[in-house]
Amino acid sequence: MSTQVRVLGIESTAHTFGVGIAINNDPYIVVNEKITYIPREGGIHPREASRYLAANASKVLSRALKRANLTLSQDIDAIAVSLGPGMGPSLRVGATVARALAYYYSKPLVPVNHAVAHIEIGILTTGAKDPIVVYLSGGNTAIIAYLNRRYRIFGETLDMALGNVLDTFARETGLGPPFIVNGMHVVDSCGNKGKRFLELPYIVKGQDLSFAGLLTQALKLWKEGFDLNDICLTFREIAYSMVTEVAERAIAHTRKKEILLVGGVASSGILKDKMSRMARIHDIEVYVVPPEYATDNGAMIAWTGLLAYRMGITIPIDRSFIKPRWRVDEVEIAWRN
Amino acid sequence: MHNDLDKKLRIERTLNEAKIMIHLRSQGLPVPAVLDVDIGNGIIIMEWIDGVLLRDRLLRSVSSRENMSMYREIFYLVGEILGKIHDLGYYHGDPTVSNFIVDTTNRIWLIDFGLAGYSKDPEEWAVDLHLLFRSIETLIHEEIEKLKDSIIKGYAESMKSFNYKRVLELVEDIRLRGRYIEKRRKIKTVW
Repeated sequence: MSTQVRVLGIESTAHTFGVGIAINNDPYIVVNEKITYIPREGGIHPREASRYLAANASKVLSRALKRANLTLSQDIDAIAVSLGPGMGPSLRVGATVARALAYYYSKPLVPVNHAVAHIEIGILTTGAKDPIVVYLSGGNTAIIAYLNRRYRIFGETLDMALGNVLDTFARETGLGPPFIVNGMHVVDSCGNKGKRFLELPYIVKGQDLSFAGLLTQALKLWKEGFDLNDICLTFREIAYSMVTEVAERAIAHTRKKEILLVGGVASSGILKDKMSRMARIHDIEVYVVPPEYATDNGAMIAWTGLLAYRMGITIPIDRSFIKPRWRVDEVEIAWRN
Repeated sequence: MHNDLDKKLRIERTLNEAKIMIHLRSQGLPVPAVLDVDIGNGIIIMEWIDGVLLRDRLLRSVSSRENMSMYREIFYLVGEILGKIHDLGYYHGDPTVSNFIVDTTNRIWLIDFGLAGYSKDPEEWAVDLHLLFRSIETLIHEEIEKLKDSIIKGYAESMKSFNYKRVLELVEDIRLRGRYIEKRRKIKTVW
């Protein structure tokens, strides 16, 4: 294909408002701008997050266009937006901006599933071809693989997501926020100082995981006065080993040759080390999405929007409802075979 | 994996696996005979079953576009084996199609009891069925409902001590616990 296609993507599913622009040839991603809401205390309140995103949306949008030196009216072929899954109030901010742009500039609107976008940007940036995808973030923990035009879920958490468990533990014990210091989660670095391995529940059910009991029990030990470093060590070893085990089960089940880590928790060096050791045993490759594209971002929406747009997938503005519970396996992946 | 955790899991699972295999075999279930166990090194030496993994057989059929209805009998037997195990008060913990072997005489065997356990909690039995169903859904994409029906028929035949319909209801409950299930919002739950 010789003609240039440019898609602007808007991400706004949780606490990040991101704008990216993707094109159909190298370097594929032209720009990736974002702002992230950080609560002063406690977890993310959906209303507060959405207010912050709404207040900063136009700033991020103009910054992205300026940096790319492109104009919406002249240079952009389509507007892509993540319509789900995510928090309703946040999703509405992104959807409102995208609809307004699509209407005002008469551009087609492309619906993008946030989880599919995490996978596609991972495949684009790492060169993985047909991986077992380990999707780890604040709201999601799932083992996913492509089969017959869908990304199918092999295993997932039955209660809390890994990122949420790590952050909650850090918050309750006073280790954070901030949760990431020098590119490392505070639970990971606290665990590096641990010496003794304690007793905490390790719960794998076939390909599924459960983290809630691990969190409760870890907090209980902390209240009982056990050494926080030892708890961190045990906690992270168990949590990451559980994820590595279900990934290994998926490899054994599908015989695929690659593992791809995506999502906000994918950058953990300790997890990558565990995955790499497992991968060596099975003689497979481990890929990790680069940090810039690991956390929520607009580039992944733009890129996935571009893939979809080239297959003719668009949505009329008056049908572009948000889908807070849009499962990854509901999306037909028209661009892969 | 951390050494202490690795050691702990190895010992626990090896011991568990060997004990449960021996018991199930003594009850006449198609489980390889345990010949020797080395707990410290996590090794179980067991009978060799000459056959192919059910998963590989399914994949071969999928790639050569064979009609999946020929698997109905096999899946009936799979359901029957799982039902018998549950009937005895055990669960397997990971009964995917990768853990069933079809031998050269078309007999079905079940392997890999590392996550198995003894429980009278129907939730554990439902998890088994859920995992089995999903392992089929992630490999093939036609005739799935008919194959599940065959499993359920075999299961109902051998699960005597507990109402199998109740287990199937729990399977549906477990499915609804996954992320972003729309139907969950329509029923009253604590979530």
